[in-house]
Amino acid sequence: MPVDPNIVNPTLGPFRKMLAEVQGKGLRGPDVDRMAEVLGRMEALAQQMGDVTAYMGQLTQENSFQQFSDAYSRVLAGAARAAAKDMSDEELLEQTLGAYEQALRTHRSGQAGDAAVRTIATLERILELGRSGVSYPVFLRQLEEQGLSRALAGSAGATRDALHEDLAFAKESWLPVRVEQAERILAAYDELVAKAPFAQPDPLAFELARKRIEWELEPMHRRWTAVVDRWSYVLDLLVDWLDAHTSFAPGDERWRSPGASPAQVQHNIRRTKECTPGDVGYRLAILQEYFQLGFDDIFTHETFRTEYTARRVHWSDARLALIRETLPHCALGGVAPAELVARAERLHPHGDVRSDRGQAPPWGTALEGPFD
Amino acid sequence: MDQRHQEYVAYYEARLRNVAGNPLYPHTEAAVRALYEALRSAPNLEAFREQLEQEKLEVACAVARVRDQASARAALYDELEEPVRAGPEKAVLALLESRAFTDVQSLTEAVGAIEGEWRQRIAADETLIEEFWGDWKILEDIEESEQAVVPHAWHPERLESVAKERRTGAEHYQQQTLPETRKFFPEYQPDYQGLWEVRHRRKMPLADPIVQRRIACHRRYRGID
Repeated sequence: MPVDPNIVNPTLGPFRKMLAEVQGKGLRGPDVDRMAEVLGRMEALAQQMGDVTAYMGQLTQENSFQQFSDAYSRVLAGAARAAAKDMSDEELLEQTLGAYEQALRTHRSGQAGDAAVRTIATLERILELGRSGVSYPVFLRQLEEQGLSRALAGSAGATRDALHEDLAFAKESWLPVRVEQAERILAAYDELVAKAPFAQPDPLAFELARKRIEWELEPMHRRWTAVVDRWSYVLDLLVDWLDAHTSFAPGDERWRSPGASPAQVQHNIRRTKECTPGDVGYRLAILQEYFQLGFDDIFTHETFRTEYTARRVHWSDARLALIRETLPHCALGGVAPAELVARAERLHPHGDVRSDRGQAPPWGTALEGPFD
Repeated sequence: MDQRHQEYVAYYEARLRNVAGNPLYPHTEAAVRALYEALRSAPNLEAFREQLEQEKLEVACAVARVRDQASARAALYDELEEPVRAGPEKAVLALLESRAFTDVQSLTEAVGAIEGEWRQRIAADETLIEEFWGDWKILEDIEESEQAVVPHAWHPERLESVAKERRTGAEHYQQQTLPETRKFFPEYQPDYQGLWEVRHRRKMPLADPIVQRRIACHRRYRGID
């Protein structure tokens, strides 16, 4: 059975279009033949293979996309060379501006992606310059001196506006390591602008600076996420253990899976009551071993206070207080005190979670915690 | 020198200023300077165009830029102890040492082929660390079921869940993860020892004994040991 056309058509569509475009222009030769040959192979494989991953893997191994693109580039470059050979400067300028106008139309349509959209202002400035009556070499010089050629070369998200957007997004996400990363990348960009002869940072220097910053901060980001994941789980376990003692437990989906018999529900509740103390002990040991954090340290830790301030600790303050008071009782053979159970029942379900969860305040709001 | 000639000189001077004195571009600066000097000393634009074509001065600029870029990236990756990511850059430098280019298209294609080949090698190199780190929570669940102190009555049920988890993990690895990965990298073999190399080790920001233990757990989870 052939590979699903819903996968094949979007994959091969652009290549079919490129070949049709080249043939439509009447271009001929070994490079056009090569394009047809590579595309034919990709089409044939799609018919022969049923597994989409195997198909994509085969195309990758055969380097089909690159081979097609190389041949396509050769065709276009050959056509451009032939056309430009006897062109005057005026014709070259006109041809260049025509290409930029075509790019602008594509970028404005949004079909070329977000990075392309960000180049619209640069393309507009280039076209304005080209249409101002200057000669071709003056146009080329001004592209250099106004940093426009570099602005296009570094267009993959490297404009200052894009970097500001990255920073704003990191702040909205309340991820301190990501904020630091975005701030440092922006600072690196500004530093390179200050050093650049035409106020556009060198794309290679910026690429290297960005790679270094991302490399340096990756372990910190991984560690931050790992800490949050681990203490979140401890809190959830303690909630489950106390709730397993409540009157609403038998109807709660944590213990009543679809189609479960009353006996199975009781078995599940008993498992939580009897095993969770050991599980909490194991998870607290992990927290200590990995990050040298004890249970009480969770609530003062930077990760917790950040998550809490960002309204991502979804438990309410009352529930968090209850979680803290639950821990001393959550021991092997232990039973939840009636007073705590009654409080859990009063909170459930709406008082369990904070009403403003997910509604992060502006970045920079002072960090807070439930027990400040 | 007529006005158009002067305008072209000013353009190539601007190109030169973009790289002059920049330590990232020693070869590019030399190549662009050669182009600029050729234009400045040419009696007219027609003579310059002939020299440009004969001496392939634009190709020399392109080769120099590729060389400078690859050198800078290779130096960064060496400093960061990322030898696999440095691989394509060093391969490009070796290519430029061994082959003379007379047109930009051939240069672009040769560099593109190297980058394509190394993209796969880099992806293969990073496959295990990403899968391994992604599986840590499952490994902790297994360890919890085995080691947490719970009443004896629950041991059979918990051990059964561990056995089931490991069975699923091994099946998934043998029947899906490994075959799927090999569709892209036919020679792929997970290299657990390689996880201790700086480029992978730094992605697990925890103490060595913990990583050691998790590696053993992961091998068992996948049914390798």
